[in-house]
Amino acid sequence: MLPFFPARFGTPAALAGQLWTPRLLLPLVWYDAQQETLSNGAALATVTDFSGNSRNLTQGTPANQGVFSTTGFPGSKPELQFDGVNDFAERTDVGGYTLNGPFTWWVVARMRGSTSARTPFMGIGQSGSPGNYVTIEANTFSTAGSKMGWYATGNTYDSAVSTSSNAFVLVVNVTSATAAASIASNTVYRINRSASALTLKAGVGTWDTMTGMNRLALGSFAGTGVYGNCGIGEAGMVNRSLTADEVTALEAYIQTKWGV
Amino acid sequence: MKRLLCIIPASLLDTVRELTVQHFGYTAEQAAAAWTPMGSPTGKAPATHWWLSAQFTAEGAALAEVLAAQPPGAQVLEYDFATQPAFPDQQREALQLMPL
Repeated sequence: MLPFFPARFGTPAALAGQLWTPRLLLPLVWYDAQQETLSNGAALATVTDFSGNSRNLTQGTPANQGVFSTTGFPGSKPELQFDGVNDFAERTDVGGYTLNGPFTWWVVARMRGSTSARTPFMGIGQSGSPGNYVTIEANTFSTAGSKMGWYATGNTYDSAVSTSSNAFVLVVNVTSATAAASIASNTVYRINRSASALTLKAGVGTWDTMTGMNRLALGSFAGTGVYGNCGIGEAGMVNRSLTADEVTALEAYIQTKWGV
Repeated sequence: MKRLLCIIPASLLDTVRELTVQHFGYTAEQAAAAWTPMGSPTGKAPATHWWLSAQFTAEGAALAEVLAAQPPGAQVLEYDFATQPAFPDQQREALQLMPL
């Protein structure tokens, strides 16, 4: 008898916290502070990818390295800390990831500094070109009004959830990202296990053509100089849209593991 | 080790990047990445101030403080990264700057 049904085909939510991990989603990347073996206060020269794809993030410039904390996340859990001044970790090989098709991102994080400061948690885009990139972030523009939100290829969105210093989990599930497709109607933006409507603050509301993705970063968004004063517990990306059952399993796993 | 926040007016950027290479073992590319725009009074580019936050050895911190004492407008401020996470934001507000 099988001990449990393979999770990628829909794990029963009641079992998700014990039997399920994001590895079963076959993620492109999966960064997880609870699996890091660094000592408290260690510089983040490398952030390990636990997806099995060896897509580690690195930072070779000492002043730009974040800090690993064994107890910084609420509940005295570990986190990857970035200072909002100049810290980030990145990689230039994103494994052919183009963002032109469906995708799903998740981030377990908190803001460490001002909740009115723009705080990117994870971004992907083009080095040196701020035109085409996507970031999952808080307070998308400093003038937008302290909301959780995200930025996608020239389009700035606020959710209905205000920023705070509390820990949270964000899941962004995109069913289509082809050029000219509507962003809002193809995106499910979930914060703390509830869907939140997105409000367009700037831009035209459609996907631009995404080509030449060559920078994936934590603590900053790709290609330009905005840095997040944040602690990140876990972050991952899957190169497809998740089913409702998979989202439920992911959020149950995160709630058990991180308490959010 | 000390966590320092270094703040400079934009007019000193080229100089401090050179000093970062000469005295702290950075390559020119690393020095360019280490200093980032702090902001401007309007929030629009160009930045009027730049900053850097990093862990320094006691020796490096002493050198940074000596170097900062020379040019007008430069500041080197020590803070606790774990317990004062909002310290950089507070310094930006104190200078009445907005992020770009």
